[in-house]
Amino acid sequence: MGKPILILTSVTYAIRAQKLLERRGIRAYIKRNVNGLSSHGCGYGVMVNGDAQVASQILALAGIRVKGIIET
Amino acid sequence: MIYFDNAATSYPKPQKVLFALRDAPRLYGANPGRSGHDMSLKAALKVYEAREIAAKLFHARQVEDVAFTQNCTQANNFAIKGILDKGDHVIISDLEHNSVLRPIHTLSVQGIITYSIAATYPDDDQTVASFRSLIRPNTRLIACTHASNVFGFKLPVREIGELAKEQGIFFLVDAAQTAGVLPIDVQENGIDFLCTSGHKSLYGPTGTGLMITSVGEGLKTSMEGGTGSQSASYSQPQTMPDRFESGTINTVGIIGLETGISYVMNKGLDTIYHHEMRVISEIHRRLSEMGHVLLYTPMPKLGSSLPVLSFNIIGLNSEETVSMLNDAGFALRGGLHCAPLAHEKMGTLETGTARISVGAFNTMKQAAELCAAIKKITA
Repeated sequence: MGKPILILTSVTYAIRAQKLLERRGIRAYIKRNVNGLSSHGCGYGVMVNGDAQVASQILALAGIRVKGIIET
Repeated sequence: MIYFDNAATSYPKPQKVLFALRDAPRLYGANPGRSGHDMSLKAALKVYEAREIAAKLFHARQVEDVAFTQNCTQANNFAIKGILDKGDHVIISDLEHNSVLRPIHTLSVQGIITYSIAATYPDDDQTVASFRSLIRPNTRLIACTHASNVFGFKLPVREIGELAKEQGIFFLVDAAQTAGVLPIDVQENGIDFLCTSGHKSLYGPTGTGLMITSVGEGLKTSMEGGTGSQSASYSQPQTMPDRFESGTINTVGIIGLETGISYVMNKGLDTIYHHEMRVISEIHRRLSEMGHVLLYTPMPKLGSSLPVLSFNIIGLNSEETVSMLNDAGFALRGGLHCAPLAHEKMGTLETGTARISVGAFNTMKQAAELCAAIKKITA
């Protein structure tokens, strides 16, 4: 099973999410050209090296909405 | 040419800004936030850095509150037309630039809103009382300049912001002349919309501006289009900053603006402001000793004015004065400076004024040379 990708609403939110997760010790990478993202309409993803639910909660607490989670 | 027209746009730009503008198309040439390739993401990251530093300078609640615009006028229009609805009332000051006056007046002429103009005074309490006296039950917005682009008078935005918050009214500050010169804290000052140009005292290139707002997601839009996000939707995204950044953004300009803001932050607003005030004070002192010079701006005072002053030479209109100074090698602006309300207030609507506006690169020597040239014209 691949690493989870959190889907964000824009590149600004994706960058902010990546920076926030990195600060919390979760390795995160911004993704765009990934199967499954295009169905969200030019969505941006942040691939996390860790628990997607934990990462989602961290982002939610910072006001960053996660539209969904896909597995690569 | 010795440049004293920094209230129109700053010149020269810092060397680092020039280098950034030169290098940006080569290093960050892709479309940020659109494609998925590395250069697109690299450009998006660079734009994000610009957002971060702008958010830091003005103490925005979060990075997404910063939307890049073409200029301050566009930012003012986005905010004013985004927040106002039919039946609303607006209060503006008697020092407004047309970038605030015209969109509000246009909405008024269209029968959508009404507006009142608050008189301003040298005494801050009197100015705040003036705004307070005009508040109606349907007042939705107070929009005012932070400082006059013509006369350099500064308004008490902190106190006006407190008044707006107390009354549940949105507060817009046009900081075209003060951003990069005076400290502005949008949260502490209760500013719902901070609108500014990027090319004046933030030392970015022309074609850049900022709208910083924590209520952007609830605003109506006046321009819609591609944002590189939520593209399946027919509707403009609600999320900031995309809601107000349709179409390919001015990456090169934004990178230049980021470098300009870095310059200001590294040098220190206080250092820049004190230097500029020393220069304008020296000019004021010299001009006040010339018999044929009419000064409309009182002696500049730290904390209550900007390094901007207006004058006329008796017997000449302002355009003639600046034309003669241009011939002598000095760049100033004459006329109404797009601020008819301020001229009505000061009784200079017919003549206009010659304006001297100081920037970080002006020197005391240049001040002396300018005054010598003015003295020669008056002789």
